[in-house]
Amino acid sequence: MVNVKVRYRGEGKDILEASPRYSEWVKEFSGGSGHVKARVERDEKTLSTIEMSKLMRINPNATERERKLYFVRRIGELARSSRAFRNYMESCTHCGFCIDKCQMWLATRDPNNSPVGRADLVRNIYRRMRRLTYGLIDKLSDEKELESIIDSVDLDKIWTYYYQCTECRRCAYFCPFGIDQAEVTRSIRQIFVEMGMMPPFIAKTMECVYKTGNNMCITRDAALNVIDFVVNEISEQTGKRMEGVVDKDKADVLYIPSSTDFFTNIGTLKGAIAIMTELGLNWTMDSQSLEVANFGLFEDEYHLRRFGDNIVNAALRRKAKVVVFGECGHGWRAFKNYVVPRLAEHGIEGISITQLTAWAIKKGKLRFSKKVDAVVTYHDPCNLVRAGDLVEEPRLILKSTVKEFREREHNRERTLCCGAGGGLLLDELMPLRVWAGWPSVYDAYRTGAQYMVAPCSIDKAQFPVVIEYHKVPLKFRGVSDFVYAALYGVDIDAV
Amino acid sequence: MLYFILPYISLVVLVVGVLYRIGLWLAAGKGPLGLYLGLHRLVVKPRQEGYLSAVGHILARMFTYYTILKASYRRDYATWLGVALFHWGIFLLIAFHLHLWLPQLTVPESLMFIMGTTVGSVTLAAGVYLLVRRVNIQRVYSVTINYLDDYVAVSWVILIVTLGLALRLTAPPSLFNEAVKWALGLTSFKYVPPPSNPLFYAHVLAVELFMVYIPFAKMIHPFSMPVNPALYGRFEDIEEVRRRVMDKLGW
Repeated sequence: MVNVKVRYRGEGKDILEASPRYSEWVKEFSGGSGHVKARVERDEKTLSTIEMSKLMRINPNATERERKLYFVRRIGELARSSRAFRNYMESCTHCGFCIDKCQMWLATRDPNNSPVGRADLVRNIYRRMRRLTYGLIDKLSDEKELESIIDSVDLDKIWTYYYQCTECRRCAYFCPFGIDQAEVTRSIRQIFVEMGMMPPFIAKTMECVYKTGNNMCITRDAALNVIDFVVNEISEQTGKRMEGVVDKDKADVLYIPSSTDFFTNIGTLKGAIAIMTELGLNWTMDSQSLEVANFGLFEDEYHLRRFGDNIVNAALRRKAKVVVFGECGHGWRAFKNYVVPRLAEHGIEGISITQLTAWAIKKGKLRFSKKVDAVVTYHDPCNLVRAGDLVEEPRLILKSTVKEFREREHNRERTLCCGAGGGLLLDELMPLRVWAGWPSVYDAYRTGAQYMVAPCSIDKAQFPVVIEYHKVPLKFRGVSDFVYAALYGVDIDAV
Repeated sequence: MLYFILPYISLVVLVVGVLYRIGLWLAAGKGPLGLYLGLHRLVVKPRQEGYLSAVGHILARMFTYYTILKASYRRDYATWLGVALFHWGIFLLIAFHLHLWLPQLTVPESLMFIMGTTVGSVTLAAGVYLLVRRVNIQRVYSVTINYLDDYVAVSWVILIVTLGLALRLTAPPSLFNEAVKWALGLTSFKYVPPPSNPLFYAHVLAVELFMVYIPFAKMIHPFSMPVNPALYGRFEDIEEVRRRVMDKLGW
């Protein structure tokens, strides 16, 4: 049973009890969430492809004691090299405000699965290393002292709970001091990568990026086939002949899609092609960079920069003036905060397709034939509002394209995470994921909307699963899907 | 010694310790290539378009505690009130004590008594509420908050306020003038004996030791905010980006 009731005003039930699957939650999580663990990639070929040997700083055959020693030493080093990490290790007052703001805690009610609980797994080590002075004495423990500390280090527990954090930054927004657990999580995962540890789903996805430039291993020929299919379908639905341009030598605009738009989110790809065409842009996609996602954000700095540089190189190849970024949440954070400054070095601008669309609507360059007859609510992706400055643009687009737009209670910076961000889109975490996404789905359901909408590929993979699991009468779509439907009066369910 | 040498030591430890601590945070830097694990910016609040808005945001967090009032299923009015009264009570009490160095500012004894006891009582009540809440968090959320520091910090402030309040309630009116002479003696580096009152001795000693304690512990928290990359740093001006993109697209 839940230990603390979290409920909406006027509702008697806890949000978990509001699900028809609540009895399954009781069976799964009454004892906490420590049993739901991310696996570790062991495939040497995959690890070699993604250059793990280059990043590993400890012998793969090291003993458990040596691994712990490395982990503890790196915590000390990070505190000296990262202002954010050091700040967050030293300034928490344990007020507990973050606990019930974390949707992973809301989903599991496990104290270790809360920002302060998760941070303390590491903070307890750091504190002992700093001789209990929280850093005033800037001297790390010596080898002998480290030996005594490592007995208390439980690497398995730290791995488990650091792969139950979605890096959504809701804690940072609500914490009175702005302590950002996502940055602590990124720091700890960086250490795990240096120890050769990464979940298979993330490692295999990265392997695809190394091989093809996108997460789904789509080859150039496969991409062209999908685009042919999409433009034919657009033609059938709208009577308009459009072109899905790939690898044009010189284009003003380079569009970077999500590779999942070539499989499950075809409506979003149709929307993007339609927007580019209607705006009359000289645009192209690049077959070696069909990916907005950047799983490096979840793991380590090297991969983040490497995947970000893929986009910069594609922009240079296509001699683009502007790079338009497709629908993706976490990828936007990496794009805005790494790729855009890199593009700026070459005089290239980087914007989101939601910005382009919203600005075009404001300028009267996009005219809609018919608003979509639907009631829609918007899920703010965490990385757009709490790391990417994209708040009003998607709202403007939806209000221009649908008959009725309803705000949900937890919106904008207070948005609830989908429960699969931070690289948690793992099959082995499914028991956790279906509950971690529930607070957001329930929040959307309470608006009475028919559609829950977000411009985020992880949301598009996660929410339909959560919606189906909890038997909620909601459908999930991307923002560009509605742009396409409204431009040509197409039934949204046929998009 | 305790009331002539220790005040200087306490002040030096407090100021140097806090500055040193901030210096250590700043020295930690961003990381390789000037990035936070690959990212240029970590700001959590949208539309933070300049350093001025960042400063405003930090000051708002420091002095209004507005994030506690943000609704996430509910608004925690009680805790916000406890936090606001406790912190603002401390700010006011510190401000009242500056009167020791401004004797030319004449305030009737009755007014000083009412203001001191009222603000002291409210601060004490809020502090006790926050201490009880802190103990209660462990029970409610089944979390283990076992750092002694978590309890020492707030308990120590409660002790200081209790001693100060007791002093205010029991001390004769003449004590204020004796305290002024002692305080002015400290600023002119001349030894003037402190008022002969056990509560005064205990109150001042508790404050001195607390000043020494601050840089060593999480009482450093207010100073962490201006050097927290999630709070400071700026995003670009979106309107400026829009204009540049429009130019490039020929719109």
